[in-house]
Amino acid sequence: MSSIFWNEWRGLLRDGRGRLVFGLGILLAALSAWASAATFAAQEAAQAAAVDTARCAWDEREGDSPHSRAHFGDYVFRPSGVMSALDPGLQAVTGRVVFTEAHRQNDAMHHPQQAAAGLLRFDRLEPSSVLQVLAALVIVLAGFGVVSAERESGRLKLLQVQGVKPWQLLLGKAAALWSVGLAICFVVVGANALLVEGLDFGRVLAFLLTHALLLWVVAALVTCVSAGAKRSGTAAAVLLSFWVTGAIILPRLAAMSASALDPLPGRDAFQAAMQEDREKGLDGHNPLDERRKKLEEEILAEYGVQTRAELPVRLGGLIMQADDEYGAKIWDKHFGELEEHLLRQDGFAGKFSFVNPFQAVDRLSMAISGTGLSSHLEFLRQTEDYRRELVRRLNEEDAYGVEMNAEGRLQRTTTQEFYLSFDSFEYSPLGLDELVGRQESDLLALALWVLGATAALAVTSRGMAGGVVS
Amino acid sequence: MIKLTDVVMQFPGHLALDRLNLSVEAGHVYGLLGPNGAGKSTTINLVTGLLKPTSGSIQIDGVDVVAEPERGRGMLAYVSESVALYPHLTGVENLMLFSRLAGRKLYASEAYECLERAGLQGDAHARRVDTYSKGMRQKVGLAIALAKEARAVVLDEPSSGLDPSASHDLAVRVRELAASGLAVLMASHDLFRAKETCDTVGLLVQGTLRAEWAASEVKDRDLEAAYLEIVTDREPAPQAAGGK
Amino acid sequence: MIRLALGLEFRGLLRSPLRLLFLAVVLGVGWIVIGQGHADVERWQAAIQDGETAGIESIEEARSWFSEGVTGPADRPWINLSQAHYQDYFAATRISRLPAPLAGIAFASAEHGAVTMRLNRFADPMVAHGSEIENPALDAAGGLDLVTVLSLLIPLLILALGVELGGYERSSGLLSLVRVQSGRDSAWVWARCLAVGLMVSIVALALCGLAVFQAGATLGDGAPLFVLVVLYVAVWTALLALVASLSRDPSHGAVLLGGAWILLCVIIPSLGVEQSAALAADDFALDLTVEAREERGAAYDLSESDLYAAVYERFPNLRAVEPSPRSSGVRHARDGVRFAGLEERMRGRHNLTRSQGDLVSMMACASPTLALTHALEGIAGRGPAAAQAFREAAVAAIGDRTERVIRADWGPDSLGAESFESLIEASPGAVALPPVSVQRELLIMGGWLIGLLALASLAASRARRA
Repeated sequence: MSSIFWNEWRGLLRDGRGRLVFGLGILLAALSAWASAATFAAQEAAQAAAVDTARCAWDEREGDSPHSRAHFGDYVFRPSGVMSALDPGLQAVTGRVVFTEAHRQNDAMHHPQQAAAGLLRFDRLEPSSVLQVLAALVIVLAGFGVVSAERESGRLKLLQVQGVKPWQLLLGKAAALWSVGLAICFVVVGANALLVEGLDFGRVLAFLLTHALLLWVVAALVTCVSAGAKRSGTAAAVLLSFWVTGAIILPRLAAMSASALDPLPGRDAFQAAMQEDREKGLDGHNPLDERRKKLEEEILAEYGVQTRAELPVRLGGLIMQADDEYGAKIWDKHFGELEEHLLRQDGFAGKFSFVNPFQAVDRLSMAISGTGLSSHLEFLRQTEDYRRELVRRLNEEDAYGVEMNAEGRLQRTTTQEFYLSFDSFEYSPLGLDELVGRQESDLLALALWVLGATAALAVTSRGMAGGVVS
Repeated sequence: MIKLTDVVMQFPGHLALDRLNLSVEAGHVYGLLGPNGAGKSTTINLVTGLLKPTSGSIQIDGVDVVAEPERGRGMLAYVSESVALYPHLTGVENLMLFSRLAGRKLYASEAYECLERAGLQGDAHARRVDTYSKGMRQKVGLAIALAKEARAVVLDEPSSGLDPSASHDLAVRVRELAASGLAVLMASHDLFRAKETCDTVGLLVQGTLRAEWAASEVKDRDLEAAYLEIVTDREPAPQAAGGK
Repeated sequence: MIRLALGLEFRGLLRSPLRLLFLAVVLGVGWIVIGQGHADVERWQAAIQDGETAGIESIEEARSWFSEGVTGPADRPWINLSQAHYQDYFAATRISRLPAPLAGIAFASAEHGAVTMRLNRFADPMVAHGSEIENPALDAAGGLDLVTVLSLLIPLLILALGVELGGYERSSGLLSLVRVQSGRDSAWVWARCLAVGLMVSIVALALCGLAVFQAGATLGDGAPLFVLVVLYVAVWTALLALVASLSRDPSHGAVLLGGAWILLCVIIPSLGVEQSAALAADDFALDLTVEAREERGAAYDLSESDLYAAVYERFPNLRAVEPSPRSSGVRHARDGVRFAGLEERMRGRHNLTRSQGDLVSMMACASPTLALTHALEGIAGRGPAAAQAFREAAVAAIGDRTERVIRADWGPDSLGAESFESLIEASPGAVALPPVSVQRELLIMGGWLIGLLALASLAASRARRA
C-alpha cells in the first residue's frame, strides 16, 4: 500500500498537469494565509484605534449631566478575534459598530464591504475557503483518473495479477489524495501560525482536524467514483459536478430555502411590534403618563415625602432607570423571539449538511473560529449587557449623585472621575466546547460523511474483488 | 484509380516516404503492408488529403488531390481503423450525418440500403452505435464509404481487432466494393488476409516500396518468407513467383 | 453545417439523462429564483407602503388637530404645531426608493441599503438600515437569484453540453473522417460549439423572458438584460471553441473547461473579495460615528454670528430671512449646520468607498462573470451605486426640509395648516433611480469575446498544421 501511496505522489509530481494543479493549490494557500493575516492585523489595529478614539471622546467630554451622557452614549467596535485570520466567517456581512445609548437598542451598523456588494456574492479567498473549496478541488483534479486511468490503460489488470488487493489499491490511492489535501492544509495553518500571534492551539487543532476530515471524505469519494467510472472523462465530469454542487450551489440553495420557508419579519414590523408593547408600559419622557405618575407616588412614599422637591434624590434618574428596565424587558422578549427565528432559519439551512459535507465543515469552521452566528449573537448580547450597565450606572448617578445645598435644592456631585471610571466594552468570546456543542447537527453530519465515504471505499473495493468493477 | 508518383514526405528529422510510386486501378484492391513505422498511415493520410506531400503527385481518377483538394475529396471515401462514430446516434443517423457533411443528403431508405449493402443487419440500424461491436461499426464505416459514391476507397487497418468471422466478412465486402468499380487501397498488418482480399500486395519498409506481388500468383508461405526477409533485411531470397 | 450540428447536439441532449437532468436543474432553479425575486420585490413595495401608511397616520393626526382649531392634543400639551419643530416631526413623509422594473433578478444582492426612510431634519441616511432584517448566516452563503443562475449555472450548462467537443473527435479519430467527408474539421467543431451556444442562449433567454414577464416589465426594460446575457453566453461559447480546438481528449477538455470556470467564476472573484476585505480592514466608520457626534456637538460651541454665517453659507436662499429672535431660531440654525455636516460626511464617505468601486470595476475586466454580475445588479437597481444614488436623493430631500423648517421658524408669521401642508407637498415621496449604463460591461464582454475567438482561431489553425 505504501508503494501505491508513493507512486501516486511520483505520478503527481512528474505530470505537468499534476504539478500545475498542486502548485497552484499551495500557492493560493500561502497567498490566502498571508493576505488574511495582513487583513486581520490591519483590522485589529484599526479596531483598537477606533476604541481609543471613542474612549478619548468620552473621557474628554466635560460638564454634562449623567442623563446627557447616557444620550451621548458610547460606540462599540466589534473585535475580529484572532481565529478570524483562519475563518472570518460572517464578518463581511455583519455590522462593525453598535451605538449604545439610553432608551434605545441599536442594530450593528456599517458594513464597509457593502461598497463592493457585487463581489460579496462570492467567497473570500480566506484560509478556510482555500481548504474547503480549493483543496477539495485540487484533490478532484489530481485524482479523477486515479483508478479509471489504470483501467483504461490496462494497468489495473496487471496490478491485480501482481497480487495487489483492491482494498490496498483504493486505500493507498485515497490516502495519497488525502495527503495532497493535507499538504495544503498544513501550508495554510502553518503560515497562519507564523504570521498571526496569539492563535489558540486548541482551536487551531480543531480547525485542522475538521478540514482534514472533509478532505478525507473528498479523497475517498474521488477514489470511489474513479473506480466506478468507465472513463476518466466521466469521472471528471461527475466529480466536478459534485464539487460545484457541494461547494457553490447547495450552500446558496440552503440559505434561499431557509429564508423562503421561514422568512424573518420586516424591520418596520419588528419595530412596530416593539413599539406597541413599549406603549403598554412606563414612558419616562411623558410627565402625564399614568404609570410614571404611579411610580412617582411609590418613590415619594418610599422616601416618606409628599413632593418631589423634598426628595433627597433626583426623581428623573429613577424614572429613567425604570423606563430603561421596562424597555429592556420588551427588547428581551422581541429580540429573544428574533434570535430564536434566526437560529431556526440557521438550523433549517444546517440540515443540508447531511447532504453536503462542505456545508457541515463550513459551519463547524466558523463555530471553531468564533465567527459564526452563535458568536455574532453572543456579541450582540454582550453589547446589550454593556449598554444596560452603562445606562444603569449613569441613571443611578443621575438619581443619587446629588446632595441638598444650602437653599434646600438638589445639586449634582458628579465628578469627572466618575465618567473616567467607565471602561470600554470588552468582548468575552464563547468557549470552544460551547460553540462546537451548539453545532451538534453538523458534527453528526460530518461523522456520517466520514463513515459513509470510508464505507463506500470498502464497498467499492469489495466490488472490484468480485469483478463488478473491473 | 489511385496513383502516387514520386511522392516524398519529409517530417522534421524524419523522412517518412521516399519517392513512393504506387497505383491502384479501378476495380482492384491494393494491400499495403509493412511493419510499424513503415509509412503506411502516412501514405493513407496523404491519399485522403489529411497531409500534403513534400513533393510528388497524388491523383484520383486523374485529379490531383493536392492541387484540387475539394474535387479530390469528393471522389474518395475513407474508413479508419477505429471507425469513430457519434456514440449517441444510431447507425442510420451516423450515416446520414456523415453523408450530409460530404454534401449529400441521404434519405432514410437510401441509408438503410447502404447499411444493408455494407452487411449491417436490419435490427441494428436503429440502435445507438455505443451498443455496436467493432465489426458492426466497421460496417457503418463501409456504408459511409458506399453512400459517398466515390471513385476510390481507402481503408486503414480495417481488420484490426476483428474476429476471423468478421474479418472474413469484411474481406467479402471489400471485394464487393472493388467489383463495383472502385479502386481500393487498404493498409494492413494482416499478411494472409491481405493476400486473400487484395489483387496486389505491396510491402512498404522505411518509406520505400520494396516489393509488390500479384496476390494470386504467390503462395502464403512464400509471401511470408519474402516479407520477413525484406523486413528484417536478411540476404534477399530468390524472387517469389509473380513478385517484382 | 450549423443545422447539422444543432441536430446532433439536440439529439445528444435528449439522449443523455445526465445532461437532461442538468438542464432541468438549471431551468428548475431559475424558475424558483424568479418566483422568489418577485416575492422579494413585493416585500419591498409592501415596506414602502407600510412606511407611507405609518407616516399618513401621523399626518392625519396633525390635520385633525388643525381642523379642530387646536395646535396639539390635550393629553400631550407640549406638542405645539405652531412651532416648526413639531410641524417637521408630524409631517412624517417618507422618501422611498422604488424598485427598478427588474429588481427581482438580483434579490440576493449583498447590498442592503435603506429603501425607505422617514423624512425630517434629523434623518441620517448614512446610518439607515434596510427594510429587511437579514440573517447573517444565510447572507454569508452568497445568495441564489437569477443573477447567480445566469452568471454561474449557465456557463456550467455550456460545459455540460460541450465538454466532449473537439476532444472526443480528436481522440477517437473522428475528426479525420469529418475532414475527409467535408473538407473542414475545425469548422465542424466550431459549428458544434455554436450549436451548444445557441441552445444555451435559448435557455438563458427563456429564463430572462420569464423574469421580465413576471416583473411586468416592458421589453425595453428587458433589452439590456437580454443583450448582456446573449453576449455572456457568446463569451463562454467562444471559450468552449478555444478548448475544443486545444483538447486532446474528453478528459483534457473537461479539465480545461472546468479550470476555466473555476478561474473565472471562483478564483478571480475570490481574489477580488479578499482585496475588498483588505481595503475595508481599517474602516470602522469613525467618520459616521464618533466624528459625526463631535461635529453635531460642535454646533453648540459656535457663537450666534458664526452659526448664522454657516447657515447662510449652506442655504444662501435664507439670506433674505432674518434669524428669529426666539430660542428656536438658534436651535434650528444648529439643524442647518448639522445638515451641512451630514452632506460633508456623505461626500467623504463616497470618496472613501471609491476604492471599493474601483476594485469592482477592475475585477470586472478580469472576469466576464464579475462584469455580468455587476451589470445585472445595476439593471436591477441594486448594488452600491443604487444605494449611493438613494442616499444622495435622501440627503437632498433632508436639506430641502431643513431649509423649509428654518425659513418657517425664522419667519414672522406663526405657523399653521398651510405651512404644514407645504412641508408635506415638498417631500419627493418615492424616488425612481435613473437607469444605469451597462456600456462598460458590454465593452468588457465584447473584448473577452473577440480575444477568445482570436485565440480559438489561432489554436484551430495550429491544430490543423499539427
